[in-house]
Amino acid sequence: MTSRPGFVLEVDRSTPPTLMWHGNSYRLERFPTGTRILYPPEPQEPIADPRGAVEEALENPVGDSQPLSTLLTKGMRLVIAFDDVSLPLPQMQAPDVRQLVIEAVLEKAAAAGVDDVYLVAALALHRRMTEGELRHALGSRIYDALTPRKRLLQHDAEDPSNLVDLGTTEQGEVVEINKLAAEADLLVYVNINLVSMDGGHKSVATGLASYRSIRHHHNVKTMVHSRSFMDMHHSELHSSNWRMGRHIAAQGVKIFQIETTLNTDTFPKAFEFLSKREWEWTLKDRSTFIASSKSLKASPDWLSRDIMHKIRSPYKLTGVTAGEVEQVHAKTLDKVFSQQLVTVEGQTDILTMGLPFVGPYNVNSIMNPILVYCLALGYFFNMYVGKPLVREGGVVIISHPNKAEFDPAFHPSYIDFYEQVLTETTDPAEIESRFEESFATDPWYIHLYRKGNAYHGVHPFYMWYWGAHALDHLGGVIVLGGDPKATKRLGFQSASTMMDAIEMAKSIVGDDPSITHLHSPPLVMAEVI
Amino acid sequence: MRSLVVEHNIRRMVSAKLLADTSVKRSLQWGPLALKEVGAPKAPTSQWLRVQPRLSGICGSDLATVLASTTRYFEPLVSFPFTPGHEVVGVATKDQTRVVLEAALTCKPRGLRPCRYCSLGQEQLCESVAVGDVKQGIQIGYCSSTGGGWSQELVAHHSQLWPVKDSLSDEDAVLIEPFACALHAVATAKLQKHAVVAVVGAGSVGLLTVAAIKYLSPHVNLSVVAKHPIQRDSALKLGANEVIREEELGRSARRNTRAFRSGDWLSSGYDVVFDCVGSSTSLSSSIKSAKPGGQVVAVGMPSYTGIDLTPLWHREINLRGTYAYGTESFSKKTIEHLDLSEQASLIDNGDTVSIRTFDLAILAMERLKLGWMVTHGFPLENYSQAIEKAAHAGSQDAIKVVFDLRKTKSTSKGTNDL
Ligand SMILES: [Zn+2]
Repeated sequence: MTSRPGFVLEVDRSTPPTLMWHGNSYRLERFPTGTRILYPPEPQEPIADPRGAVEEALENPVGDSQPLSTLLTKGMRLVIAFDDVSLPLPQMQAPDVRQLVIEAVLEKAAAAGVDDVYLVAALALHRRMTEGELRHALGSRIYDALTPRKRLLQHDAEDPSNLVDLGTTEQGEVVEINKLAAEADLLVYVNINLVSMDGGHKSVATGLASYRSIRHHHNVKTMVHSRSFMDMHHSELHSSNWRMGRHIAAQGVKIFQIETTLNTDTFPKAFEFLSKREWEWTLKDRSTFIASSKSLKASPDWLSRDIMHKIRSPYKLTGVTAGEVEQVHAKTLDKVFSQQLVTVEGQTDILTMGLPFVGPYNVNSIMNPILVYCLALGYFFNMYVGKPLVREGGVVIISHPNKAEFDPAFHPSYIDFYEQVLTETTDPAEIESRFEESFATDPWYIHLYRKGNAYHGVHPFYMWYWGAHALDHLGGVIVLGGDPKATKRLGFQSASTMMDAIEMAKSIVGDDPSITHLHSPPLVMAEVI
Repeated sequence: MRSLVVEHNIRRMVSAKLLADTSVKRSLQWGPLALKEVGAPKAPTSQWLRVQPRLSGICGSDLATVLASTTRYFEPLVSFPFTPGHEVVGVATKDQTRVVLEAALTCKPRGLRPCRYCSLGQEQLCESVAVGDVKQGIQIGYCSSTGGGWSQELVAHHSQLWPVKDSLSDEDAVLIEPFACALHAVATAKLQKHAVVAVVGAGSVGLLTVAAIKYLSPHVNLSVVAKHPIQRDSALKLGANEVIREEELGRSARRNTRAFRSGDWLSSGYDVVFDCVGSSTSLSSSIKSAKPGGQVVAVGMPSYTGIDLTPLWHREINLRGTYAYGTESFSKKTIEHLDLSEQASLIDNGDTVSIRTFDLAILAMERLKLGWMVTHGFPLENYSQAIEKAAHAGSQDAIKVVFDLRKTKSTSKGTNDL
């Protein structure tokens, strides 16, 4: 069975209503005739023997890398860094691909007599993972074996005793990363490449770096010049990370990169209609949709959120490549694009999108307005190569409840960002120059990042910068079904129905606009020609 | 002459109190205040002058009185029937000079030798409220001997009258009395140069406190809790560094002082919080957001409140009241910064310099010209409308509401045409 590619449907009178995500829930929406709907490709056929594929990759690395088993020698220190809880989304059904790969690496290490081994979650400035999340990503066998010996660590970008300054790139960018990882005899990085932004030199240069280092590419200027940041060849974010990555290698840090790709099999059996094309819904799909959307609508927020965040995706491994970072990543990108890319002819005046319950930064938590903004204008908007799906001066319509609700444990600085910063300005450059430093150096945020489970104080700023290119490009943003006050705080307009939203958009883009709907998740990326 | 009069009528006071929460209009209708034709008050001694009010403000304590929502604490300190109104700019009939009224009825106007507080210049703490030449009453506006501002004529001791320059409008001048209260509240807090300060509430008391803070200590970092758009805009215009909502106070205190927080507990917080609301919630959040050992100053008149004083105890917060005005003392450097060194009325104490609060308020007003805060004026006849407006203030785009007595029959006016 081969999977069908993604495609663009043009709505006509026979088109059934289209599924549209709306936070913890979804509904059916009718689009005007002529609207284009961008459907993702179906999930690719997975690798039949994942363990075998991992073994194969580790022993047949790409680039000038030696097979992993020959790199492992008795008495060495091995550090294995891995992507954190921001990937994949939703969390995948056990066993997580990280567990699969790390078990294989550890077995080889044991066979070679390597017993000085550390695992490090490459958090960058993300929150620390909880025990449950670590157990899920690594499996309890690894967790229980390493935790008591303090061998399972989480990167701490604010721990001066465990950071090393490796100097600067030729462009003067400070390269400061995790000392334990940098000074290991071998650093193995285990990645999940869910979207094309992930991986490559970004794994180590961002995932294991300090604020001092990260701020060289996580800033407004870089993000405005990343068009898109999902396309590394046109992304200043990646250029900077690549300079840093090469500098890290030049300083003698020995990295063995392992990248994995997953198919887009996003929803389990009970929710499989969410991945299907509406006209192919069976009677059962239809009744599941009705029952589930009704009950989600009737549930209190915390309950519907809880139901949604318990979803474990049946993602399957489609590729695993190991060895030298750049060559590994080139293969990975081919794989990601082959799964997600759909060709679209021409840009659109209005781009509509329904935002789901989860983005990279609210796993097991609340999607607050700043994360809504970032998921829409950072992630979804940037899911393109070539040119944006929506034309310059066009409008994005976002469907999401967009409530001003925050998780005080995970997102404490977001609350202050919402109250103190967005009440003053929504302009990324002004936000950066006036407020970033005070948030980034606030001792309380640093404390909560290091000792609690909080995102770093500066993180909401990055969310805002993520959308800077879109803000620059767009003529307007309308939130459909969102809380009007919170929507206004973001600098956007509110609409209560799709028809109202389109009417409002017309005042910006003119009459008779072209409309394109991004039918995602599952993930889809547009190659606009 | 026409005068608004408050009579001692328990039944009416109870009615007003009961109705005040539901309808200001009905509370007034059944309450103790009435518009009457009365004889002009007689001067108690030759030291007293007749004054015809031009503008007369409505303040929070006036509202509490006429709506009977105050405690009965003040009852023995007033004499019935009285005419309210202690924020007054008027004309002294003797020589037609324009004057503002320092309303407090302390030893001097009462014709007494100064008590221990008055002799120290702390007139706001005066011991004499029921003796001397006039009946009991802490201020003109609560005393049956003097009349009050909400009428066509009152009497005042010559020491209570301060002439105002032509450069001040009536609107500027009518704010001098409440501004003196705000200056007293701020001056006694002794703010450090770069103190981190909050003002809770942005009604007229709150905004005048903001103005007083930025006048006396322009370098402090000032957060203001404001509810309504006109209040937010005014606070920013007066120099607030940020305007926040009440529920943000604790978080703002944490941000501004880079404190650690655990629940409601803060490792630091504001050096001083000026509570210009006086409610249970405002006092509670003020106490929680002041730094350990910091001050909370109750500027607005509080009444019965139920608050958790655990954080006050645990964090050694100083909760302090502030009332009226007297004499303020400043360092010579401050006086220089305020550009007041040349003022003849300064009293040199060696290390420090003293100035009467009222004098300071007049001088400050000449610089600040806060008359724009007087947003609405009404004739006495429309007192019900006026008091309703004042009671709803911020939510109805009002800051200071006054009685306008400059014409016998004037009409209600908006911001611009006053
Ligand atoms: Zn006295």
